[in-house]
Parts: sequence; C-alpha cells; structure tokens
Amino acid sequence: MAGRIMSALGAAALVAFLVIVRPADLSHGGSREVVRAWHPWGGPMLESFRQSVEVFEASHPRVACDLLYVPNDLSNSQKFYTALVGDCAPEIVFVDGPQVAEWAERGLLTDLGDLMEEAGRDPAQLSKEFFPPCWRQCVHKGRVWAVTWCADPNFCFFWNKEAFRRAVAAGEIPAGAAGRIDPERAPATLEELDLYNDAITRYEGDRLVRIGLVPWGIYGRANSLFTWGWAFGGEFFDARKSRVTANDPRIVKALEWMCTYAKKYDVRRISSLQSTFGSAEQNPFITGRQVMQVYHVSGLAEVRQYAPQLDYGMAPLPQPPGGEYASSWVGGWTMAIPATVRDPAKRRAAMEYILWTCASAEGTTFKLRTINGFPGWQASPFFDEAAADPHLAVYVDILRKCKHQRPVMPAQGYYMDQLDRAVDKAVRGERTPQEALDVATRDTQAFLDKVLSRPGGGA
Amino acid sequence: MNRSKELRAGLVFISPLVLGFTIFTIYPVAASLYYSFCDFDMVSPARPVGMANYAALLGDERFVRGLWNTFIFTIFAVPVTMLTALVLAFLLNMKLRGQALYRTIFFLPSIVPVVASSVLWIWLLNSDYGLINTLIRPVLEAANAVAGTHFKPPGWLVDPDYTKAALILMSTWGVGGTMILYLAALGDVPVTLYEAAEIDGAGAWSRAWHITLPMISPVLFFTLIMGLIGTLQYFSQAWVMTPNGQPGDSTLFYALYLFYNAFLYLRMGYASAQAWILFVVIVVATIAVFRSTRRFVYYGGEGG
Repeated sequence: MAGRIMSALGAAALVAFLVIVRPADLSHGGSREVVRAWHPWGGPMLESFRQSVEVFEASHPRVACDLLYVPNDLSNSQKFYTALVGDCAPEIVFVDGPQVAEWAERGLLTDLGDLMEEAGRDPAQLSKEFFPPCWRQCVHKGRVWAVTWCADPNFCFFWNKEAFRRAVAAGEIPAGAAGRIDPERAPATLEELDLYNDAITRYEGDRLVRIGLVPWGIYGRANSLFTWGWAFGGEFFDARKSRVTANDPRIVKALEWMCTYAKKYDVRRISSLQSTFGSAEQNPFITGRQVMQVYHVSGLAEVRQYAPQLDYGMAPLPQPPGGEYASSWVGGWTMAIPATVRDPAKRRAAMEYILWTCASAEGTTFKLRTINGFPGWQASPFFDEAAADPHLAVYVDILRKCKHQRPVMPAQGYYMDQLDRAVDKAVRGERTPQEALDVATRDTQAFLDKVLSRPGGGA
Repeated sequence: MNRSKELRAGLVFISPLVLGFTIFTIYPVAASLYYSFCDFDMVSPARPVGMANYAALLGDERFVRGLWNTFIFTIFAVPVTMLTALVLAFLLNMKLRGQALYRTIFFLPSIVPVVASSVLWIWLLNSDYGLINTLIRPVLEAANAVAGTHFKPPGWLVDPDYTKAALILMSTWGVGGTMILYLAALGDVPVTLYEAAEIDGAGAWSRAWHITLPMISPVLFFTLIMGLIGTLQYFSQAWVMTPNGQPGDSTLFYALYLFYNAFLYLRMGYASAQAWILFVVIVVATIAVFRSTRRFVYYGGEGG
C-alpha cells in the first residue's frame, strides 16, 4: 500500500515539475529569462531567425528566446486567440501591421510605452527613429502597442525590357503605338501604362497568352485597391472622425480605371491566365506571361534567384492624372507582447529582444540582410549596405519617400475583405465601382462602430 | 462481484466516453447556443443581446447568398455523386478479370487528401490550359464548324455560372467511399431472387429495377442522408479552390461564411447563430427526406 502511495506521489511530483518548470527553461540552463516568440515563417526564414537568436543571446546573457512557428496572419490567428483565452500565449508575437489596432482595441496586446522607457528608449525619441508610416501603424489611441520589425516598401514597378524588345522586333506592336513604346523606359503616366499594356497583350485564338499588367493582381485585390487608390490621391479612412472612406471619389476613379482592363481584355480570360501563375520558376514575370509587374521586395529576390539573366527595369509606380507622383505605402510585420504576459521580468526580457530585433544596429542588420528585407528603424546601418545594391536602392528610395500605411483602425481585417469583394464585384461588372465601394464603406463602418462600442477594450 | 461493485466498475469503464462526450461535445454545443444570443468576440466576455444576431442574419446579403449557394449545390451534388457511385458500383460488380484492381483504382481518389486533390483540380479545371477543356475544345470546335454555333469551353473556376458545376464535377471524383458501400450492398442481394426472376422471364433492366434497387435501398437511403448532411456543411474544397467565395460570391457556401464570421471577423456570437440555423436546416431537411423517401426503402428484417 505504502509503495503505491509513494508511486502516486512520485508521478504527481513529476507532473507538477513539468508544469511549473517548462522544458524550454531547462534547455537554457535556468539562468536566463526565457521568452517564447511565435512567428509565422518556416523554411529559410526560420533558419535565419534561429541564427539571429544565437547572435542575440551571445550579447544578452540574461535573456533567451525560444522560437516557435505558429501561423498567424489576417485570416489565420485562431491559435493565438485560443492561447490568449487559455492564458498560455507566448511572451512575443509577430503581428501583421494592419492587425495591431484591432488587437489593441480588443485588449489582446500590452501597452509598450512604459516598457520602452524602462529599457532606456524614450518612445518620443523612438518615434522619430522609425519611418513615420512604420511608427503610425503601431500606435492606436495615442499608445504604442507594437514595434515595426520589417518595412515593406509597396511597391516598385517592374517591366520586362527583353519582352518589349522582342515584341518590337517581331512587329507585334500595333502601328499606332510602335513609336511611343520604348523598351528601355518605364511608362511614367497611367496613359502610357495603358498604351504599353495594349501593345504587349497577346491572344492566341480566343486565349489570352500574355498581358502587360493586371491592376487588381497586386498581392490580392484589397492591396491592389490600396495601391491605386492612394496613387489616385484617395484616402481610405478619416481617423479623426473614425469614418471609413472607401467611396472617396478618387478611389472610385481608381477602381473605374481598374475596371477598364477587365472590360478591354475580358476579366474571365484574365482570370484564366492568372490561374496559371505560380511562384519561383512559374512566376509570370519570369515565364513572360505578364511582362509588367508591381512587386514587393520579395518579388525582386525571386526574379534574381530564378531569372538572373532577365533584362528588366525598375521604376516608381506610373502616375495617374492629378494623382500622387511615385505613390507608395508601407506594409510589413511588427512585434508585440500579448496582454496576458503579466510577469514583469518576462515583459522586460521580451522588450529587450523586440528592441534588439527591431531597433538596434546588430538586430536589424543581421536578420534583414539574409532576407533582403528592410527595417522600419531608419537609423539601421543596413540601409547603407542596401543603397550599394542598385536594385535594393530603388526600394530604399521608395521607403524613404513613402507616405501611407493601411488605415490604423480596429476593423482592418474586415475592411480588407470588403475591399477585396468590392473589386471582385466591380471588375466582373456585377456592381458599378461606385456601388461596390458604397457597400464596402457602409458595411465596414457598421462593423467598426460595433467594435468601437464594445466595453472593456484594451485601448 | 455484487451489483454495486459491478455498477461502479461499469461507470469507471465508460467514464472516458462520458467525460469526453460531455466536455468536448455537449458543453461546446450548449455554449454555442448561449453565445448565439450574445455579442462575443472570443477574447472578451460575452454580452447577451437577445435575438439580435438572428435578426441581423436575416438582413445579411452574404448569409442569404451562402444559404442559396449551399441549397443549389446540395440539390445537384447529392444526386449526381450518388448516381455516379451507383453506376460505378454496378460496373465494378461485374465478374471481370482484374475486378479487384479496378475497384482499387476507383477507390483511390477518395483517400487523397482534400487539399491535394483540390490543388490538382485547380489545374484540371483551368479554362484555357486545363486537361478537361483541352478535351472539350476540339469537340466544341467540330460542333461549331458543323452547326455554325459559337460554343466555348466553360470557364470552370473563373465564371460564376460554372463554379458550382466545377465543384460538383470534382466531387464525383471522390465517390469511392460511397461506391464501396454500394458494392457491399450489391454483394448482399440473394442470387436466388435473380434466378427466380430469370425463370419468370425478367430482363436485365427489370431485374435491376425490381430486385437490385429495392434490395440496396437501405444503403441508398443511408448515403442520401449522410450526403445531404455532409453537403450542407461543404467547406474545404471551396476554401482551397475559390478563396473568399469568388468569383462573385458564387462559391460562398454557408459553412465558409460561418468560418469567416467566427475566425476572421471574430463575430463568434453571430457565427454561433449561423451554426444553429444550419443545424435546424439540416434537421428539417433530414426529417423531410425521411418522410418523403421512407416508403421507397425496403428492409428485409423485422422492424425496418
């Protein structure tokens, strides 16, 4: 009997030990404060993250970081939500920029202001060290909830010089456009872009086999509308009045222009062509099925890796009539501390890792060098390295001049979904651009009002 | 062992099931009913709002569209897949050399993971470069040349008029499981019945209609009910092949919109209300099918 009791007690003690002392703490010898960081990347990105953690731990003897791949984006955050409700969320989570305000409003994140001060970084000073849109996307209702890790300069215009040269040589360019198409020069205006498109688009029988640019094919329909909407001079949100303004007349104009392509080249044929597009070697810019592209910096990396011999040019986005010159906006990922992290020592350790990764010379250079990504922290020496590379330099220039970030409001995921639908309905002719954007505005406003009226938000 | 000891031992043995069922089934179901009357975003406390979620759903254009899409899809997909499985079962029930091999080949697609088969079908259904239209195109071109018509191959996944047909076509590819059930049922039909019918002069069609179908009707009925319930909850293929229910909300199925509400928009109360409406729809549809088709089902045993 006594033996049984002893066995039961032993088992209970082992379970208690494993619950209280996590295996992660043991693996770091117990002398460091271990913070767990959930990130949404696998493959080479994860490997490079692991290396950066080693560099961090070498210079920060009191903190250790455990990385764990957990999918988390605008449409896939269930694990984070359930971990949060179950009070077992990690100490650090990567948050997609447009989600920061929403998560802050719902009380999911920790206000970082005091922790930054404790770490010896004045938030007011720090705000000046980041690119303005990168800092703005982390601030909701006057408080800082996240720190931008990578800044995506959205976007750069690419054109395949080789494809245009071949088309000119083969006499494929219509007579009227022949003299006005210069393979060595990017279209500077929307009118020129239309001309280039018309000239290069080709059919075989009733099949579309090559197109210039698909205006709604820039990393999803919502991101496409953000891109052209701002280029036309529109604004998507009035932060002062908390009003959704997707039906801003200039955004309606942008969508009207996008719809001209749907009509001219037949949206169904374009969709059919698009469904053959892939990544890596199947990237349509590399296969020659789409000869003009609006790329994120990862697009440049792909072209360099899979088509190093391709002759292409890079330029700012063509300017719409009366619109913004070289329009661009910043996207990217931020790092934050979930609201359930209450242990002050863990919070301090998490802040230490976040600030090293996002706002230190070593952190921003090491990690981002390996992925050709840019930090949101302007002072990073990585920008000097990047400027020496003629292609990356174009992106650095875009980032420095960038004015916009996606609206900072706590209904961003829903808003993007509504914009996506609005573009789909408009290009398919189911609704006029005005009607489609009116519906998106109305529905998103109703959703936002409801979120803002909830009591007990964190912000 | 006396009765109380037996009872105790019995309770201990069934406790994993009872506990599991209570914690992981009864509680979530009951909680979702409660949440359907609340404003609940999963991460902050639920606020009771009465019937507001149900009332809002009635005015929600996408909810109505999802219900309609699912309804249309179910009406066509269930009979088409059942018929395909039945025809295959009839064919594979014939005594041929290599019968087991053919059966295996036709069953194989049903064990391919849904995501993998969906990605494969995205390519097959590509309207310009896909295999299906590559086969259809010359036929249509020949017909057009003869009749002077202008038929074009369908834009399966890019034309809102064809997307549901595309998904139904794809679902016929995965009927292996149903086909196996039908094969088992066909194997159970007594040979004596066929012999008696043959002596009475019944032809093949007559034997199939008057003997085979009545004898396998309980299995047909079972697959009809299960198919109905499964199709009303259709989700994975649409999620993979036609994101956001596009083009033009044509594949915005009920379960897809429910998922968006629950996990993308964090409207868990609203999604719970949707789930309960779906539950009622499934119960009503099942009862209706039970009542309308029961008399066609023949049970050989007692109490059928």
